[in-house]
Amino acid sequence: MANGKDKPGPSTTEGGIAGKHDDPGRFEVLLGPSTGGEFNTARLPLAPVACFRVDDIRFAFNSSFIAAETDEKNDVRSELKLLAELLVELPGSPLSVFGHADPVGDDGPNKILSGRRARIIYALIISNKEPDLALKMWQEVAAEEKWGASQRTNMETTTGLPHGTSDKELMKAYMKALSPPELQVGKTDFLAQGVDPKGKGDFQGCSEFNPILIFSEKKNKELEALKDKTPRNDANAPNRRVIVLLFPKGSKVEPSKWPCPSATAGITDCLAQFHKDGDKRRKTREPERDRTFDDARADPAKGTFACAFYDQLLTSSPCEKALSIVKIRLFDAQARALPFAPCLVTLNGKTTADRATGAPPNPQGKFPGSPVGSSSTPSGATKEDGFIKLRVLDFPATVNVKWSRPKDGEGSGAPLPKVDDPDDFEFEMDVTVTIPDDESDAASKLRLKNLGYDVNPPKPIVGLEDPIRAFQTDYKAKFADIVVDGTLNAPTAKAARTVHDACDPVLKSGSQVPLTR
Amino acid sequence: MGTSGILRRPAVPPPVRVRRSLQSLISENPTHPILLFYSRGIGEMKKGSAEIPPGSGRQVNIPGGRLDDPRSWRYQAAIHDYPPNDTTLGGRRRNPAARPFPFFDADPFAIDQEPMPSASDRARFWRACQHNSWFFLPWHRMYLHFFEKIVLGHVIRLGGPKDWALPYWNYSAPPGTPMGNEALVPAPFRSPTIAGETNHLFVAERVGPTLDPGRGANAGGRFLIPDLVSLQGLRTSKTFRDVFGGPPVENHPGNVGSPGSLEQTPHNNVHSSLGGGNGGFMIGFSTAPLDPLFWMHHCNIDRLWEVWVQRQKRLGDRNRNPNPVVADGPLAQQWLNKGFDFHDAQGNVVSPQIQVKDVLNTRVPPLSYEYEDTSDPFKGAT
Repeated sequence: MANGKDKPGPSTTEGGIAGKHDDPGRFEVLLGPSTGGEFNTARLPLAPVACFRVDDIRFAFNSSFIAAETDEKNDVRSELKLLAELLVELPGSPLSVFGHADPVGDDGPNKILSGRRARIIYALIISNKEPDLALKMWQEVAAEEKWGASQRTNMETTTGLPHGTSDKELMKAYMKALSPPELQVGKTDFLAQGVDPKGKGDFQGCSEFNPILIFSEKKNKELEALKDKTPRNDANAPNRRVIVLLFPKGSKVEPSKWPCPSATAGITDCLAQFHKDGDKRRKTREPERDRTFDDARADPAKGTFACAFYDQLLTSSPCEKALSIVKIRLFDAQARALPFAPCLVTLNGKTTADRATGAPPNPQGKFPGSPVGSSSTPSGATKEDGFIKLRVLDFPATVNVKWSRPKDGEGSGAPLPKVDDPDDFEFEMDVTVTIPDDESDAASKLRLKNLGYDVNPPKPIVGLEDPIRAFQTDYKAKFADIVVDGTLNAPTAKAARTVHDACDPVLKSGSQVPLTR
Repeated sequence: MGTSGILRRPAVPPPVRVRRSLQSLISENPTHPILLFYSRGIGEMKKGSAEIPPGSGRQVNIPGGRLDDPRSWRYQAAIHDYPPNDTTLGGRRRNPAARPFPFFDADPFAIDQEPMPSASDRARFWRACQHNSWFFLPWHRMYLHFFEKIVLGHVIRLGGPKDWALPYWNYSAPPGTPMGNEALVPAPFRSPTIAGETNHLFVAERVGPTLDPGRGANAGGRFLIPDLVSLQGLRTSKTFRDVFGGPPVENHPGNVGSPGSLEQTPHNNVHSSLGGGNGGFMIGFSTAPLDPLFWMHHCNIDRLWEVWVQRQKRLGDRNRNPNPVVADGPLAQQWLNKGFDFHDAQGNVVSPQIQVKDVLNTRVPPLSYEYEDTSDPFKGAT
């Protein structure tokens, strides 16, 4: 199962990732406290076979509370489903949970915070099978963090329980609502099988010792100079995560020999596991370039993890990479943005159903006769409407999207389209994601294609005006230096880049005809 | 952020032309540019001359255009059908010419010794219309598409609207309402002139009986009644075969089998009502496309296909086209992969052949059109 040959690509959700690790046979792992190169007694090749990650966006800021959203695909439920899928593929694989904080603040408090998040996720994973233990753990964290009205409101909304329901009942119901029923995991399904009352071996916090992203000096200086710390905290989000590792079936550790301290303990035992240059690894900033987990792939000595034990476990893990985001804005053929558009997105052979973002009031595909060349965002929609968001490990060359204009009354709560009805969709495009960062002809043509002016259409559209000329005609009002001459000159390339990167085209001809569907 | 970050990308599909409703065009402007330039485009297609007889040194005008020019008005009609008794000698119409019009099996524009396409070209491109067959709808959709591109080329050359597209003629009043203008030939098609110039939308050969004694269809007589153009078939027919007929075989012009509910009503009924008896264009396979209304009529049938498909989707019924994964298995593959021969707007043979699977979504290339109104006339009622 852990053979790298049939390792499928990792699965990602809005707030997490799951994937299998490379063949674990090539290194051995220390099973007890140890220094340098010595090995202790058990030379078990204890290497994870798969990993699973919950990102910061699932947690409330500076808290361990997991907030539920109206749409379950936007909260932790989608990640827990990924975990359940992994466990179907890898039955009997014992788990261990690692929480991580970002490098802002002190090591000690961050160790406790990262430990709490690990406890919350551990409890949620076991909540179907061991609801009482799970509840106790949540109550402990709630007391430490002083959860209050806002957490209660979220739990009441999600569970539908009335105001005044006891904390115990509310929390229990909330955990039940968050955990997919197919996730049936108990404390004995973890690496140390729940032997240690403080969970040693089963869940732990790694403080800020193992960042996956270290800002460049330049970026750090810019972010620290800002009065508002939100941009800094947002940029640091990839570091705040919870990783769940799955080990080979039958793996088991003795808590006393497990190198990590318990989730509530201090940092001393962690420091003992550091690389000799651990502090340098986790703190060094390069002048211009951000350092990432990936740096260790090229040269293991240049990794960003201070903890040698964790570093070894996570080598090549698909889960320890800062995910990138591709946002694609869906339009109709006249370049009207389509809030709530239903769609199918195919990436790396995997197709998922989705619906574009939107905010009421909802134009829902009905457009008054807007003049050609005016904003593509009809009244009622905002410039952030009509997007779908993909989280990816690496930017793909293209993403295939099939979509339709939303029908009357379709909003964010409407059911998602069926993946097995691909001919349900009005439009289809291979949207180009990777585009050279310049205004060369090649780059401009890719941008024009995304904007609906394909200069090399796969099938000819007879009678269509030259696409470059058409672009120039549509945009000459917006960009004074554009001349309609059909050549891909500098002003045209620049305009295409500006409009493309802002995802904000103007309306094309034909838009004055109102359609009845 | 190193190798990661956020990228924003727009997804704007290629342009789509809107095939508009004749009635809404007329209500906007009785000589709407889309109609005016349709007339002018047909005028261009009808132009043609040849040296007749050969060697005479005399250029003779050929009304309706040369039969050996794939883009001419007459050639386009011959793709649908051509009288079977045409004979040639040395690539020219043979003397004596075919039976004179007004017989169904005659060419009303025939000129003795005019040039004809080769016998192999006639066999390959002419007499191709599909009726009483699963290919009725997709074949006519392709036929309209290539015809539209020829007209569009003329419209653009003549300075007409760049987004010109064939209009459709919706002659069915909304269910439950009495027929009004729907019962009539649309006004811009009735007069020999339009905006002071020759109206190529007009043909005299609309000879069907009307409800108004003494007033033919071209004089504004009511030639349609609700039953003839009822859309009930959209509602009652649950499979492609029910709606648009079978069998899944090539069937030109449709002498075997029987039509689907919508092929009969309204399609066949409009042909026979407007064409009437002997001498009417719309009633004969070879002459019907010589009436400009033929193309508007078939656009409407093409639109009703889309209306039905959309309605089936809304009803959650996957039985909307022959579908390999639903009930039709290998027959559906046969249907999807079937190709037909046509010429493009430059007069070149379309290669590779256009296939049924290329024309199922009208909004994407190569078709790239949609209809102004594809709403369900029954508002989702089952």
